[in-house]
Amino acid sequence: MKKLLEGATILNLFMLVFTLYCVILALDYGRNSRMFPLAIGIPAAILLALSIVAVWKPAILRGADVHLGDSSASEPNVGEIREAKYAPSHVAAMIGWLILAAVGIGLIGFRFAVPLFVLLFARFEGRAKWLAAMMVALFTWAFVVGYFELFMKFGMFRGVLFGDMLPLY
Amino acid sequence: MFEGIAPAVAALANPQVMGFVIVGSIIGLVAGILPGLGNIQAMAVALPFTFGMERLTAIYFLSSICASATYGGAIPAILVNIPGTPANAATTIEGYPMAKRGEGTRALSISATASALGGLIGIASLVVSIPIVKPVVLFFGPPETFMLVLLGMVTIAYAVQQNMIRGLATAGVGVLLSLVGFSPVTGVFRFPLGSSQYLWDGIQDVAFLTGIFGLSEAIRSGMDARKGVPAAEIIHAGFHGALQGVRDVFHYPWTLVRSSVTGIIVGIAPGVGGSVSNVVAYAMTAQMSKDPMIGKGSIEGLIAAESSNNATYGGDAVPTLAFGIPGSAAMAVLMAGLTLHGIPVGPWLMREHMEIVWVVVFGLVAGTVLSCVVGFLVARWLARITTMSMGLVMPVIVMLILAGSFAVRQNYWDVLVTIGSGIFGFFLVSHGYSLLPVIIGFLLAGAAELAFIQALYISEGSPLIFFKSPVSLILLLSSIAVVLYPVFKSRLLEKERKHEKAA
Amino acid sequence: MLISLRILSAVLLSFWIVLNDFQQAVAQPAKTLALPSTINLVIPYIPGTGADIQTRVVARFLPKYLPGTPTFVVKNDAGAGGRAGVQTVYRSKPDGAAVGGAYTPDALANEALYGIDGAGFDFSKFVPLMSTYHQAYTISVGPKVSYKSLDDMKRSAKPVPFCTTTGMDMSYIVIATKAIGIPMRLIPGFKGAPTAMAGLLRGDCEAVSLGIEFTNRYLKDGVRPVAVYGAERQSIWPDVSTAKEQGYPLELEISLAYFLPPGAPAQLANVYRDGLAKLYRDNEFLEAIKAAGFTPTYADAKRTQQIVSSLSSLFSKYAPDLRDAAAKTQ
Repeated sequence: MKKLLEGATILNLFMLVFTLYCVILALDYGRNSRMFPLAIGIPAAILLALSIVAVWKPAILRGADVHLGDSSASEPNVGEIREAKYAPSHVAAMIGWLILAAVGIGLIGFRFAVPLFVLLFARFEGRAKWLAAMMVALFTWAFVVGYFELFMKFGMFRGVLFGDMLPLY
Repeated sequence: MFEGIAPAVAALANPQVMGFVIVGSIIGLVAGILPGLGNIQAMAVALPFTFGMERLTAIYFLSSICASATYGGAIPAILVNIPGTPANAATTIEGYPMAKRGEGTRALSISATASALGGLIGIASLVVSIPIVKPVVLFFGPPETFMLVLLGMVTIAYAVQQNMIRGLATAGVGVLLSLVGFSPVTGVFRFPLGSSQYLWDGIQDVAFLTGIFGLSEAIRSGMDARKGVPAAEIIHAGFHGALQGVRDVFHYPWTLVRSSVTGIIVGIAPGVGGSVSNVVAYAMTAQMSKDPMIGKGSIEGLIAAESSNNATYGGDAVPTLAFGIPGSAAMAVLMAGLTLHGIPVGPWLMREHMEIVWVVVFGLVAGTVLSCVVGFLVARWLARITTMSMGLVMPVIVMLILAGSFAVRQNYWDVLVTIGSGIFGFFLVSHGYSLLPVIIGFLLAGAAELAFIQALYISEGSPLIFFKSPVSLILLLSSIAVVLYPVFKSRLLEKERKHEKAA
Repeated sequence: MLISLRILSAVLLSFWIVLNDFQQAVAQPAKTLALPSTINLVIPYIPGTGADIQTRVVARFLPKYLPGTPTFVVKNDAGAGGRAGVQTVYRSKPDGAAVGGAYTPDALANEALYGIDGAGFDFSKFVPLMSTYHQAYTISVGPKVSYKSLDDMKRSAKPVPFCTTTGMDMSYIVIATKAIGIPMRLIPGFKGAPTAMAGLLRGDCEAVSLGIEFTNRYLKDGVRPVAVYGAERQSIWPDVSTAKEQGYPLELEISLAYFLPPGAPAQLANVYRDGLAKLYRDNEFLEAIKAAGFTPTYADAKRTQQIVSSLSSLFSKYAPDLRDAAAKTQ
C-alpha cells in the first residue's frame, strides 16, 4: 500500500489516467481522427501500466535499460523507481506558491501580483532581508511594466478585480 | 542569381543601415533572452517602426531581429536552465550543468560560436540552393514531410535515458498532449479536457515548453534555496574562459556540420522549425557521442543543440523566398514586412527582386553574427548570475516566465498551462525521467499526423504514396538506419570486447 | 388696426424666437466625442496574413482622421480557428477602445458551422463601420489538368480533388461545387493559401478556390483559372468568364470588414465611419495599400451590412452541406 502512495507511482497513475482518457475518447472519433491517438495511446497505456506494476516487480523494467552513448549515465539498479529527494511538505509548499501566483495574477493582474509575489517569496521562502526583497520586487515590477507594457505594448492582464475578463475556456 | 548582390551590399555599407542592423540584433537578442518571447513578437512590434524607413533598410532591420533571438534564448538556457525560446530546449541539458560547475562563461562562448557557425552554414546552404530552390520546395509534399518528421521521432529512441519503457511511455504522453485540440485535417476537436474555446488550438507550445523546462527547474531551484544549496563558483572566468569556448567548438567539426545539416533539412519542411531541429540534432549526437559527459555538461552536446537551431534559418528561408510559404512563424512575420514595403512574396520574388533575396540573406547573416559577438563579449558578466542566491533569483524567473507565457497570446489560461507543465516536469525529473522524449513527442506528433493523413487523402487511402518519391524513400531508409544503428553499435562493441578478452 | 398690430407683433415675436433659437443652435459647437488614447484593432489572424498587413496600414494612417489622434495597436488574436479575435471584440465594452476586423465569410462560416453559442458571437449584432478588399473568388486548376470550364469539371468521372485550407476557402468550395454540381473531394489541412497553391503545383490536387488577386500571382507558374465567381468579368482577367456566363449565377467574394462591439452608440460609430471614409480618400494611404499588393476598395456601413446579410443567408442555406463536408474529413 505504501508503494502505491510513492511519488513515482502517483506520477505514472496520473499519466495513465490521461492516456486512457485519450484512448477512450478516440474510440468514438472518425477513422482519421482516431488513427494516431490509438496507435500511440494503446502502447503508451501498456507501458505505463508496466511501469506501475514494476513498483512491485522492478525486474520488468531492468531488461529495457539503455546506455546514453558511452556515458556513465547508466547506473546499477536503474530499473528501480527512484524516490524523489525532496520532502513532500517542501514540494507542497512550492506548488502552493505557484498556485498563489496564478490566483494573484488572475485576481489583481500582473502589475500588483508580480511585485507582491517576488517580495513575499524572496522574504519568506528565500529568507532574504526585507530591503533586498523589496529592491528585487521593484526591479521585476519595473521590468514587466516597462518592457512588456510600455515597450512591447502587450496589454498585460489586469485582473478580474480590476475589470479584465477571463477569456472563454 | 548574382545580379542583386551589388545593391544589397551597397545598402549594407551605408552607416545608417548598419546602425539599424546592430539595433535589430540587440532587440532580437533581448527578446530571445526573455522566456516566452522571441523573434516573432519582437518583429511584430518592430514592424510599425519600419514604415518610415527606406525599403532595404527595413528588410535588413527585420532580418537581423529574426536571426538574433535564437542565440539570445541560449543565455537563460545555460545560466538558469530556462530556454529563452522553444528552439533552445535541448541547450539546457548540457549548458546548464556546465554553468552549475562554474563554466558558464565557457558555455556561453561555445553557444555563441556554434550558433554563429551553424547560422553561417545554414545561410550558405540557402545561397547554394537558390538556383534549385523551387524544385526543392516542391519535393516536400505531405509524404516527404511525414518521412522527415518520422526521422525526427525515431530519435526519441536516442533521447531516452536509462530505461526504454519509461522513456517511450513518456514520449507517448507527449504525443497525446500534442494531439489535444482541433485537427485541421480531420476537423475534430479532440480531447477537449472540458474546454470549448481555449484548447481549440491545442496546448500552446511556448507555454508548455517554458513550463516543463523552465518552471520545473525554477521549482527545483526554489527547493534548493530552502536547503541552502550554495550558488556556483565561477571557474574558467573572464576572457580566457570565453576564448576557451571558441576553441572548443573547433575540436568537434563533424558534430557542428552534422547538426547544422540536420537543422537545414528540418527547416526546409514547412511547419517544422528550430525547436524540432534543436532536440533532434542533440538526441542524435547524444547517442553517437563517445563523450562520457553527455547529459552532464558535454561540450559536444551543446555544440549540436546550438548549431542546429541557427542553421534552421537557412532552411526556413528556402520555402519562404522560393514560394512565399513561410518556413516558420518568424518567416511569416518577415514576409509581412516585405509585403508592407511593397514586395509581395511568392515565386516571382526570385524572378523579379533578387536584390531583396540577398538583403534577407545578408540580414540573417548579420543578425546571427552580431548577436553572437555581443553574447561572446558579455558572457563573462552574464555568467555571474549563477553566483546569485536562488532565493532572490527564483521568484524573478518565475514571474518573467509567466509574463512571457501570457504575452504570447495575451491569454490567462496560458499562465495556468505553464504552471501545470512546470509541476509535471518537476515530478518527471525528480523521479528519474528524461524530459526529451516528452518534448520530442509533443513537438513532432502534430506535424507527423497532419502530413500522414494529408498524404492518404491525396492517394485516396493508398499507403504506397509513402514509397513513391526518391526523397521519401531516402528519408525512410535514414529512419531505419537511425533505429538500427544502436543495435549494430552494441554488437560491434560486444565483438570488440570478445576480441579483447581473447587477446 | 389693433388686430393687425397684434398679429404683426405675434409674427415678429415668433420670428425673433425662431431666429434666436437658430442662432443659438449655430453658435453652440457640436459635442465632440472623446476617444480613448489607445485603441486596439483586434483581428483573428496571425501576423503576416493579408488582413494583418492591410490592418497595419489602416492603423498607421487612421489616427489623423479621428478626434484626439488616438494610437492604434493591432492585436493578433488568432485562436480557436479564427473565432477568438471576433469573440474578444464581441465581449468588449462598446466604448471605442476595441475595434474588430475580420473577413466576413470567415466569421460567418464559423457561425454557420458551430452556431452562435459554439462560435461565441452573433455577427449580425456587431455595429458595422465599413468594408474593403472586395475580391471575387475564383476556381483554378493546376498546370497538368485539362479542365477548361465548369461543365468539364461537372462531367468529371471522378471527384475533383481540391486543396483547401480551413474556414472560408473550404466553405466556398463546398458551396460552389454543391451549387454547380461538381463532384468534389477535399484535401484539407493546408496551412494558408500559399501552401495550398504549392500543393496544386505539386500535383497533390487538381483545383483550388482562392481570391482573384492572390491566384493571379501564380499564373506564370502554370495555374489556370476556370471561372470567376463575380457579377462581371474582372479587369485583371478579361479573358476569364464568370460562373454566371457559364450558366451558374454564383457570386462569392471575400471582404474585410471593420466593426464595433454590439451596443456601440450611433455617435461613436459615426465618428469611426467618418474617419474611415476620409481615410479611403487619402491618396498616400491608398498608395500604401496598393504598394502592399492589395486593392483598396471601399463599402460604407450600409453596404457592408447588406453584404453581411446576404452572406449570412448563403451560409445558412448551405450549413448542412458545410457540416456534412466537415464530418467526411473525420
